[in-house]
Amino acid sequence: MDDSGLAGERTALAWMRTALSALAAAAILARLTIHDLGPGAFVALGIAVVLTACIFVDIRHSGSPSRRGPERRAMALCLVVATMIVTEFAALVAGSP
Amino acid sequence: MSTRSKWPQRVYADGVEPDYRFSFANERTFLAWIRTALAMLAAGVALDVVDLSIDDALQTIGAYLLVLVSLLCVVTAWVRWAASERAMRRSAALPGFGFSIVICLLLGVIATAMAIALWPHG
Repeated sequence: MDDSGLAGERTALAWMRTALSALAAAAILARLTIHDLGPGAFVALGIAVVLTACIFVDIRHSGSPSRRGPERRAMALCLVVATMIVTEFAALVAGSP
Repeated sequence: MSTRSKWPQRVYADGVEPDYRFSFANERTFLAWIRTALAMLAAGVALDVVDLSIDDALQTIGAYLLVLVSLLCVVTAWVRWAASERAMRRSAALPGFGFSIVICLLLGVIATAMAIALWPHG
């Protein structure tokens, strides 16, 4: 178990690499689905950008995510990824017939 | 941290605040599940977009299945985060994980089907 008090920093780093991975995936997804979905391809990218910005602001001051709201940022990330999943699902449906 | 969120009720209604290091570890596990979901989604997109030397219908089915696995990973991430946080607050046992067999089976089926389909012929 980590006794050196760096759990917050590890968690902040985990959030940043997850948020950036989601952002990159949303950007690639937008690029690949724009043909089938048009402007709808960018919804997921838009909210991924907003979430990433919020995470960076939350972490910037103290170096750790705030201890009081994990449920909010966790649900926000779930919704971002769920939106990406719906986007790809729509692209699959739109691309097949 | 005396003022605690009331949502989700099932997690925060009672119990005591655990050591913050355990809560952060729980959060990092949640993030690992989300990155797994993103990897599954990327694989599904790849099957959708890349033209492989296999039947188009099989590629499309694989893409749908991987998108399904991605969704299961997102649900797993949230449900396990909430259940674990709740258990820690009550000093109860962490949730079991029999459900993981579903994701394992789905991935096994997809990987086997791809291996068979991609096997060089003649």
